[in-house]
Amino acid sequence: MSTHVDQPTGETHPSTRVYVVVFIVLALMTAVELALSMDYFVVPRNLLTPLFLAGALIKASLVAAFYMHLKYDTKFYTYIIVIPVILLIVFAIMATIS
Amino acid sequence: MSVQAEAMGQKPTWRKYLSWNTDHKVIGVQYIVTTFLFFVIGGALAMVIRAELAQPGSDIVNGVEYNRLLTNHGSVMIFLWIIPIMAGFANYVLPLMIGAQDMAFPNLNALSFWLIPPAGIIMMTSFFVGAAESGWTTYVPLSLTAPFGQTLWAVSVLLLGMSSIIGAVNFVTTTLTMRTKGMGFWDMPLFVWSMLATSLMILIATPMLTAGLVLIAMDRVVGTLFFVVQAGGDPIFWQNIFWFYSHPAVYIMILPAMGIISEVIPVFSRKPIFGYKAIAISSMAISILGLLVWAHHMFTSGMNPALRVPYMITSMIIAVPTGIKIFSWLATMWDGKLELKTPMLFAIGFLAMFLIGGLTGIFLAAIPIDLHVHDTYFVVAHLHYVLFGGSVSAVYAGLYYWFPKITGRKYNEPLGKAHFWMNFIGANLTYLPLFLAGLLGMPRRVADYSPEFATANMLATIGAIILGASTLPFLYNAIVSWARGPKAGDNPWRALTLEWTTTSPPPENNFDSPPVLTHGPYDYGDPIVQLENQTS
Amino acid sequence: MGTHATGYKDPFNSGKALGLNHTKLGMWLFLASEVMFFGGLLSAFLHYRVSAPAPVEDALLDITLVGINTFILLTSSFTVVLGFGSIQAGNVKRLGFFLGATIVLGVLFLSGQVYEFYSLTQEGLTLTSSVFGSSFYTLTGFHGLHVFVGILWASYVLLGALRGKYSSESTIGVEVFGLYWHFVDIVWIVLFTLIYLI
Repeated sequence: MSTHVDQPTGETHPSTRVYVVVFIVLALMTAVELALSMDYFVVPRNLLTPLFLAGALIKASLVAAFYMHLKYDTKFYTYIIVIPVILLIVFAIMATIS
Repeated sequence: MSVQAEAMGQKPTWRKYLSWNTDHKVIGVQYIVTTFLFFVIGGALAMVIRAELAQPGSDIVNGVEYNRLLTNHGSVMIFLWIIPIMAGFANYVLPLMIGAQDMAFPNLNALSFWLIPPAGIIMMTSFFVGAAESGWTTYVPLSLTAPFGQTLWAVSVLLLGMSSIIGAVNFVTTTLTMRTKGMGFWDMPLFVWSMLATSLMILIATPMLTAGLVLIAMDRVVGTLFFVVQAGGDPIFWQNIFWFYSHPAVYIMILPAMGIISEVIPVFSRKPIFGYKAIAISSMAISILGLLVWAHHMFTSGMNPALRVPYMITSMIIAVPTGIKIFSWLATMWDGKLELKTPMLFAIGFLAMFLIGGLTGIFLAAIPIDLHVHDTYFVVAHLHYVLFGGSVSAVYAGLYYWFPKITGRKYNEPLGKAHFWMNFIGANLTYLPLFLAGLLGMPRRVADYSPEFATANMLATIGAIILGASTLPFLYNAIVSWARGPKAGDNPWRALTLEWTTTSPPPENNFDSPPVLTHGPYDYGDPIVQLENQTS
Repeated sequence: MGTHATGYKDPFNSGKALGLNHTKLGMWLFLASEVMFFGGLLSAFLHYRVSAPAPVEDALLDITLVGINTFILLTSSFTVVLGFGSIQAGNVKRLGFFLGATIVLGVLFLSGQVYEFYSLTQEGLTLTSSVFGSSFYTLTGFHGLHVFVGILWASYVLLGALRGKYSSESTIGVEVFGLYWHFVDIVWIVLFTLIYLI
C-alpha cells in the first residue's frame, strides 16, 4: 500500500492512488449489486440478501477505513464507532423479533 | 459574594451565573442551582401525590389530573433533576480532578447548560395547555391521544437529550485528552471513571430516545402511522425503543452517584479506597451490560416470551459489578478512622438505602416474581430506594463535600446533620411501606385504591411530609453559609484529589500552573504523602 | 475579568500519547451518537418491513434513479477525500475545486431525492398512506436532511478555504467535515441496501 509519512504528526496517509482504487471498487460493487437486484444475472432471492448485506458491510468498511482514515489512526476511533454499530444490530434484531 | 471577589473589591459575581459563560465552574453552578429548582418542583408534585394518596378515594384530584401529576413528577425528577445535576457535578469537578484548565469544548459546554432552562420552561408550560398524562414512559397508543402538552413534553425531552449528548462528548474528550502530567488511566479519581462510563451510555442510548420521540411527535403532529395499531403500528416497538434508552438512563443516574461515594468514603475513613481497579472496571462493565437489559421492563407486555430469558440473565449478571462496588466501599470503611461529617453520613445512608433498592432489583429481574409485582407499588418502592435513597443521597453527599471548594465557605455542620437525619428517616418512612403495599397488590398510577392499602399509604404520606420538610434546613444552610459562612481554606477535608490543591474557590484558570501528580488520589495513611500534604 | 482559558489545552500531551486529536475525537463521539439515531429510525423501518409488509408500495420504488443517486453520493465522498489530500499537500486551490464539486454532487443527490419523493407521492405513497410510507420517508428524509446540513457545512469550509484558513499545517477543519460527509455516505450505503436492494 503506497503511503507517505506526515512529518509534523508522524501519521501515515494513503496516497491518491489508494483513494482512486477504493472509489473504483465501490463503484464496481454498486454496479454489480444493481445488476443483481434488477435480475440481469438470475440469482435466487435467498442468496441475494446475505450477499447484499455483505456488500454493504464491505463498502462501509472501505469508506471508514480509507476515506475516514480509521486504518491509519489510533484504534480508539474504531472502537468508538464499532461498539455502537454492534449494539445497534442487537437492538434491531431484538426489536424485530419481539 | 465569593471570597476572591470580596478580596479584590469587585461587584457581585452572581451576574455571571445568568449569562453565557464558558468557565466550567460557572456552568457547573448554573447546572446545580437550576436542577435543584426542578428538584423542588418535582418534590412539590410529589407532595400533592402523597396528599391524594394519604387516604383511599379520589379526593383532591381526579384520575386525569392525577395522571398529569405523576407523569410530570417522574419526568421532572429524571430529565430535569438527576440526569443534569450529575452533569453539573462533572462540569465543576472533572477538569479540576484531572488538573485541566477547562473542558475540551467550552462553548459547547455552555450550550449544554443553556438548553436546560428553555426545555424546563416548555415542560412546565405544558401544564397550562393540557399536560402530558401518559406516564414518563409515554406508552402508545395512550400518548398519541393525549392533549397538546404531550407534544411539548416530547420537544422538551428532545432538547434535554441533546444537552446530555453534547455534555457527554465534552466529558469523554476532556478526560481522554487533557489529563495532567503523571495521570495515567489508573491514576484517575473514580468519579472521573464513573463519568467516562456514564458518558458512553449517554452517547449510545440517548439518540435512540431521540429517534423514538421523533416517531411519536410525527404520529401526533404530522399523522404518520408508526404506532397506529389499525395501520399495522406496533406498541411493543415503542416500548423497545423507549427502554433501550430508559434503562441505561437509570445507570446514567446511579453511576455518577457511585463515583461521588467513591470520592467521599476514603476521605472520611482516612483510608485508601479498597479495590480501586475493581471499582473502575465495574463501572465500565455496568455501562456495557446496562445497554443489554432493557426488556426486563417489558416482561408482561406481550413480547415474545422466549426472548425474556436472556434479559433476566443479563439483569442478574449486572448485580455482580454492583455488588463488587458495595463490598469495596464497606472494606474501605472497615478499620478506618471514620469522621462522621455530613458528606459521610449521606454516603453511609446511600449504602444502606441503595442496598435495599439494589436487592429488590434482583427480585424484579426474576421473571416469575416480576409477573406478580410489575406495575405495583413494589416497583415504585424499588425505584425510589435506588433513585432517592441512592442517587439523591449521593447528590447531597457531593453537595456538602464540594460546598467549601465551590463557595470558599464552610456550611453549618449541625444543620447538615439535622438535614441528614430528617432525610434518612423521612425517606425510609415514605418508601419502605410501599414495598408492602405492592406485595399486597396495590397497582401503580392510581389515585384511588382499596382500603387494605390504607395503612401503608398513610405511613408513606407522613414520611413524605418529613422528607419534604427536610429540604428546608438544607436550603437555609446552603444559602446562608454561601453568603456569610466561615472561610473554608483550600483543603478543609484534608483530601488528596487535585481539586483540593488549589484555592477555594479556584482561580479562573483553576491552577496557577498545571499540577504534576506525585501520589495517587487515595493514598491516605502513606507516610511520605502525609509529610508532603500535612494530611493525617 | 481575568484571562479565562477558553480553548483546548493539552500541556502534557495526554491526548497525543493515545494518538487522539481532541476535535477528531469529538467528531467521532458525535458520529457514534448519530449511528444510534439513524439506527433507531432504521430499526423502525426494518421492524415494519417484517411485521407489516407492503409489497405493492415496495414495488413502486425506482431502483434505477436511486442507483444513479448512489453513484453521485459515492463520487462526492471521493471528491471530499481528494480535497482533503489536496490541502494536506498545501494546495488550497485544488481543495476549493473539490469542495465545489462535492457541493454540486450533493445538490444533485438532493434533487434526485426530491424528484423521487415527488414521483412516489404521485403514485400514492405518502408519509401518511401506510406504515411503510411513514418509515420510508422518515428514514430517507432524515438522511436527506443530513446531506443538506453537509452541503451547508461544505460551503462554510469552502468559504474558509477561499479566505486562507487552511494550509498543510492546518487541516483539521477540513478533516472533520470530511468525517461527517463520509459518515452520511455510509448511512446511505446501508439505507440503499436495506430499502432498495433487499
